[in-house]
Amino acid sequence: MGKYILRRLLGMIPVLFIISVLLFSLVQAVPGDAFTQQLNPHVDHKYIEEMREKFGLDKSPIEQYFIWLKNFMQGEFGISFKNKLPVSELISDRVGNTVFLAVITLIITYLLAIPIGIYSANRPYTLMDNTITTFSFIGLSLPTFFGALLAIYIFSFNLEWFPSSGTMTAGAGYTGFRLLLDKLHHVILPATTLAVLSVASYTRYIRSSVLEAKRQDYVRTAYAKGLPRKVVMRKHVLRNALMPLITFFGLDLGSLFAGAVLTETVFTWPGLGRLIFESTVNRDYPVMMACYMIIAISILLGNLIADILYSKADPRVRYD
Amino acid sequence: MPAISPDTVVSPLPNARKKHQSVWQLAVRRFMKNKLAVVGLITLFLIVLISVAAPFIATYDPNKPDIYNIDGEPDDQHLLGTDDVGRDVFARLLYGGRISLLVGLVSSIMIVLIGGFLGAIAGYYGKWIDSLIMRMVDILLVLPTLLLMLFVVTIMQKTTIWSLIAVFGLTSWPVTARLVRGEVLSIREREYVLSAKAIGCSDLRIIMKHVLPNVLPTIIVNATLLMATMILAESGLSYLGFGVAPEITPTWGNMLHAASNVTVLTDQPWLWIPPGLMVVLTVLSINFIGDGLRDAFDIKSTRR
Repeated sequence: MGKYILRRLLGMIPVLFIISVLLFSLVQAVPGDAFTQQLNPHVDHKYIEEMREKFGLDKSPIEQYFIWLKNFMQGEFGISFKNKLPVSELISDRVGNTVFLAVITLIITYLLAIPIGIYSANRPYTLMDNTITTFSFIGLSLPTFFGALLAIYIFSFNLEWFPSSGTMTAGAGYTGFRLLLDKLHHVILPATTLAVLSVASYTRYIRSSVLEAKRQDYVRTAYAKGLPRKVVMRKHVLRNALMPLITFFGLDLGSLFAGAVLTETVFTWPGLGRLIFESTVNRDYPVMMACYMIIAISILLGNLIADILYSKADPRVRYD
Repeated sequence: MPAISPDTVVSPLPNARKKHQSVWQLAVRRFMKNKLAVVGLITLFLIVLISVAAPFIATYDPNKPDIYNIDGEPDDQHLLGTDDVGRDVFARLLYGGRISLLVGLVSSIMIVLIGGFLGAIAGYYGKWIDSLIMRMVDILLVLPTLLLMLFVVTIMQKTTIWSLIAVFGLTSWPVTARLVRGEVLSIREREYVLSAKAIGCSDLRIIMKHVLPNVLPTIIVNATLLMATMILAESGLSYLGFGVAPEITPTWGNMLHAASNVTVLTDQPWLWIPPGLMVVLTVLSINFIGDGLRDAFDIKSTRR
């Protein structure tokens, strides 16, 4: 197992290297640079030249790439073009918010999707099941940001139940438990809109997975030897049907940092997704490069965790 | 079953063709029995119809500003009011459907062509071609597609319909390629491919005549669901302001962009709720159709 993990970790290096080259060349393909837009008669030409020199933009692209790579490996993500702050500072300010939002979203997803999926599978093709299926389809077809806009329109502006933006009440100075409540109050709306999509897809997955497990021979055998329905469900059906969820958990873990560009933008939630949006608008390439690389790393690690968890949960799967 | 006569052995073709047709007929019959799929098909047809017939339905030019009638509320002249430069929102909604549907259709065809081609040669030839293409797939799949699109769109100075379609095509093919490769891998080992090889058919002929027809159901279902995904992607990118500019042509996505203004969001819901609902309705009916097709062709469902 240790060998397997090591091999997978080493395998990530070339992938990350190619991704970084790819992203870097895309940036280089843009005519001009971050300071071209500032070129106008009111700005001293010398100043622009100085700034270019300061950010190393006067060097050749290949040289620039290796300087970037060397710094990145040392945890130096560079300086933001836009607000001249270290990129690592910008990112560490945001990561917590994104993770908080993602964790609450995951909790909502599991709390809703598992019971609904099982309920649906136990009464296939009834009115309730068909209703659930139809709603899952609507959930899958709803653009997340449109859901977010509707949620703000209905629950923030008309009903005034939840705040429409931010992570906490500014200037309220809450501490301890009160602060936690305030944060939860702010996170509920974005987390719920984000969860709509995942609840819909999880529900559909769990439903078909449970339905399939119920058709297996070992389930019939379990009934035949006289086990009560509850025991059969818990020990034979659910155990097998819900096993793949462990894999999804790993994958979800990996995409935690990918954030939700659209949802975070709609709710002006200061997370990584919003940072990506802002840096994209401003063509702030050091920030973009760092964010995308962090996301790539977390997704690769998430895939690895998914595979490890699955082999732990299912003794039939072995890696060596 | 009739005894095998010399006749059937000599000319297996008519027989094969008959059977071939019945697979498709069976699929059509099964599809028509699926109520949700048929409802989806009719709804999508109606949406396409009103978008194509937009010039006959809309009484206003979707791109013509009317400075004397800015931010108008819905009335019997302008069914959905006017926007911040006085353009008729109802007309824009109808014309916007054209672009959203076009982007969805053309980009999903493009993705299927690129992904299908690469997946087919990877699966059929194997060896280094397979490794090369599959590594490309792995690398592109590491980043979420929307982020990849966002990155590529940034480097373009101005987004047009066709550059948007190109970006969608270039970033979204990996899943299709992987899907097609898997199918081709298993078909390659079937007896009929082996016998085709034995009688000296060229690779091209085997791929076109024996492999492709068998992968087609998977590709059709994939293309349908991709169209839904691409319409969602267009609306998402346009909401962020990275889609086709509203001055060039209206799309449902760039109409939704208006809602990033808080005043529009709270006080003028008629500007952004209709295009949003149109997106939901279109994507929903396409998803119903895709699901119906998947059941009709009896393809094992994957996580979605």
